[in-house]
Amino acid sequence: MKFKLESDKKLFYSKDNEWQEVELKSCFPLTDKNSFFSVLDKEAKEIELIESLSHLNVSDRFVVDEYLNFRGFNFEILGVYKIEEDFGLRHFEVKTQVGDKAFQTALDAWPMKTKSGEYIFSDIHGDQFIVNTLDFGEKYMKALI
Amino acid sequence: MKTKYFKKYLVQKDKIPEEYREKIKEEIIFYCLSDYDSEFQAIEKWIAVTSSSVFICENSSLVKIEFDEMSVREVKGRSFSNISILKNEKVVHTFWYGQKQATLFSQLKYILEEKNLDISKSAEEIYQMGLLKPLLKKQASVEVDKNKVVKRLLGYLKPYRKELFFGGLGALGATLVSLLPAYLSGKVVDDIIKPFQDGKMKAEDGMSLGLLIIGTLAFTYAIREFFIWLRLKKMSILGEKVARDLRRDLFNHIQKLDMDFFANNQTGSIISRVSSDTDRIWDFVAFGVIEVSIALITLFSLSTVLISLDLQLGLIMTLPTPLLIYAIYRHGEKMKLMFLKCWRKWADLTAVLSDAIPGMQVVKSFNQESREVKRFGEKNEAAVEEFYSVHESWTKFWPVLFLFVQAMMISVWFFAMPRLLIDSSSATFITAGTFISFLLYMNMFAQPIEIIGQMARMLNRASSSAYRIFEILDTKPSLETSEVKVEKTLQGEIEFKDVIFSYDGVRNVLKGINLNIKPGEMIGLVGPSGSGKSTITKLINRFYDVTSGSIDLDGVSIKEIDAGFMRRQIGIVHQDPYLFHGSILDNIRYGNEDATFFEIIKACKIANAHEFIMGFANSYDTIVGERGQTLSGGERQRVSIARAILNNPKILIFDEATSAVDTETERKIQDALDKLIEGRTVIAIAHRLSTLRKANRILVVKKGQIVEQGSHSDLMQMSGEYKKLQDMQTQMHEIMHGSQTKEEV
Ligand SMILES: Nc1ncnc2c1ncn2[C@@H]1O[C@H](COP(=O)(O)OP(=O)(O)O)[C@@H](O)[C@H]1O
Ligand SMILES: [Mg+2]
Repeated sequence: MKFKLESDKKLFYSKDNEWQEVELKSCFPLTDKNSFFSVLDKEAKEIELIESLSHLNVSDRFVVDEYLNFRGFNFEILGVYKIEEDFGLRHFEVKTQVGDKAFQTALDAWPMKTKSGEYIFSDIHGDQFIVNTLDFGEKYMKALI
Repeated sequence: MKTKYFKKYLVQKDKIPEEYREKIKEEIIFYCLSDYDSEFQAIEKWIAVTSSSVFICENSSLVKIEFDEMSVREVKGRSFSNISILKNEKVVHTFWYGQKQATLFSQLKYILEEKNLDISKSAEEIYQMGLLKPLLKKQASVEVDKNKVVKRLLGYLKPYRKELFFGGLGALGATLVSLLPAYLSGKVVDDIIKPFQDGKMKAEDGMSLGLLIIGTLAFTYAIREFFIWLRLKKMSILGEKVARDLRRDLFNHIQKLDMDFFANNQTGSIISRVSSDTDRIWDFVAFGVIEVSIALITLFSLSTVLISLDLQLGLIMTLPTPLLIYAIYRHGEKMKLMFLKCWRKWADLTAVLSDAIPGMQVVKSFNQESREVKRFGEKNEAAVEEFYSVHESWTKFWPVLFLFVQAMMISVWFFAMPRLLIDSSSATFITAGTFISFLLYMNMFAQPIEIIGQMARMLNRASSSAYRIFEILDTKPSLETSEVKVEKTLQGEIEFKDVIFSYDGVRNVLKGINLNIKPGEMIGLVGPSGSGKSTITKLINRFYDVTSGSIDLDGVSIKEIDAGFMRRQIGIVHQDPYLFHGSILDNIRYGNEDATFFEIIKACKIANAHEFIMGFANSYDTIVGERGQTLSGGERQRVSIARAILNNPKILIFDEATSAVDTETERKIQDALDKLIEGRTVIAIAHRLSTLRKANRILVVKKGQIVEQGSHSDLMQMSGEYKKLQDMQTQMHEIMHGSQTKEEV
């Protein structure tokens, strides 16, 4: 076992039989979130570069998957209730996989289109909202994507 | 306003519920909201900090955690993060939060780690600012009451009541006079042509009456053009005056604002408020206001005239009008969305341009021209697609709308025809003249409808411009000033007494600085980046006020000295100095118009700038800045040194002035510095320690505190932070040399 996770999702890595706090970061979180991960220590120094998670043993893989699910969690927009414009802001009320949310983007902040054809909205607080297919409210999105 | 932000945008309470406040009893110095649980489900759990413990408040109950032996750790994710409280290395509590709360949680972590309970702002203020800041940054630095914006804007018209009166008179006159020709045309038919054809009037009589009417018509047109001229002239001048006043107020106000304002707002946004927003206001005042009023008056009087001419036909024309106005309004809204999409694609297109053209060298050296052409081509196509659909939409809408209007007219014809052809004694009989007047009035109908349909959009545009302008006008400078201000000539003594400073009220950037600098002393400031060195110099210049403690210059508190007068005696040279567009001469004497040529040349000689300036074809008159001669970093640096010392300042501050230049230039600047320190207090922040060899004292700043001080040799003997820095630089030097030798091999 090289990895373990505590209740607050703090990841620990063992090297020479000593556990230390680490961070596991994807190198290409948007282009390819399944390969190339850097294991960083508390001082953000790289301890190891993992090319593919398939090199890990089953239990490590389990821990790392749970960790990455938490770390890389993004809101997915399933439906749009409304989109409004205010001075300098665009206000969204949407349904996501974890419930209804409201967020705001700058008026001139356009969503980014990924290679796989999804759109990513970044709001003013730093959250990311992904649009793939919408169950409802497509007409509001029409002008933006 | 604030409540709306919390309710609608942030969807959380604007303060901690009163019940928790009552239950906690102690004074709450900081609180924040944990808005998720570990399963990413929304919850409401408040975390309140008092002087001795942390309270966790959820579902009307409290959990208290004492400070002692508590440690904190943090795990950050893309959307959710958490902070845990640990005791004896064991997690006792974890608070989960979303990005919105991140600022507040980083402050919570700071407070719990540093046990810093010395917070200068109220808990509520910190909580609200922590959440609102990103919103306000995009929207407003202050809250402007949106409902009052248009009213305030109209307030700017007040001084120009005379223009407004004549402009309005012109508009009203032109509108009413415009109604006459159609009436007169009907008169010609009913009172001249008809009686003549019926043999009831002689040709000569008809002719003279006709000439009278033609004369009146000519006079009407002349009057109308006069009124139109009056309106256009008065209103466009009025618009210019209002825009000028707004620009003047804005620029004057901007000059008074603190550096904080400029740190929070992007330059481009401030510039566009002064230029394009005031321009839009001109447009609104000069044309919008009157055009809409005219349209309303026209439509109203036309309807009255039509209905009074003939009730049935009048109603056919007037009843569907609201429908038309609504259709135009809807179309406008739809077009707004389409334009939005166009802008978006257009922004993509210009992004390629602003990427590829400055990067041309890279494009060419990687032989990627065809890729850029393809990229541009795609965006170009995408933009054109959007334009097509815009054109498709409006080209379809207007003909359909006019078809509808024409259908109304056809109905008028349809209903009028039988009534024209019945006996003149019948109750429904309508004279040819009345009908002709009617027809002519109908043709005047479409234009005002179009304008009113677009009114909402125009009002929206103008009020958002006005909003952006008032936003700046309502920002207040935050520096305290004492009543009596001393205009003091400085000797150069600087004293910091227990100075604590925080930009946000929570995180102390300076944590108790005590410092006495004697006149004529040269002080070196070193330390890792972010340790607070620049902040110290900003405080000396009073760009910000200290949070607690005080700063004295020559024994007088800096708050009692006239800031402008004081700043003129302090020279600052930054890492990346700003030169205005203009000649080198103008740039050097920017702060001192009265300097003689001799003084200017002397300053440049000291700054080692004279020689390179003389190398340009126009010497000191060489134009620099955006469209002028480009100066290298080191050259700009030396011009700015000359500018700083021309005023013969008693205090000179160098903030990493030599960090970005090569060794040769650094040596030249170094030379300049050596000549400068004579007779002044100098504070030099330097990256390379070698720059500070002449310093009387070197202070090592770390995490907002002065951790070591003394001369170079004292500090080297201490084997502390300074020695570490020195060793690191020596090492770096060796590494660089090492790599150079490798390359040579
Ligand atoms: N205008 C500002 N608003 C908020 N924080 C700031 C501002 N300027 C600097 N800081 C913060 O203050 C700290 C000290 O900055 P600074 O004095 O510029 O450090 P140094 O000059 O030593 O590199 C840094 O953590 C920085 O992020
Ligand atoms: Mg600095």
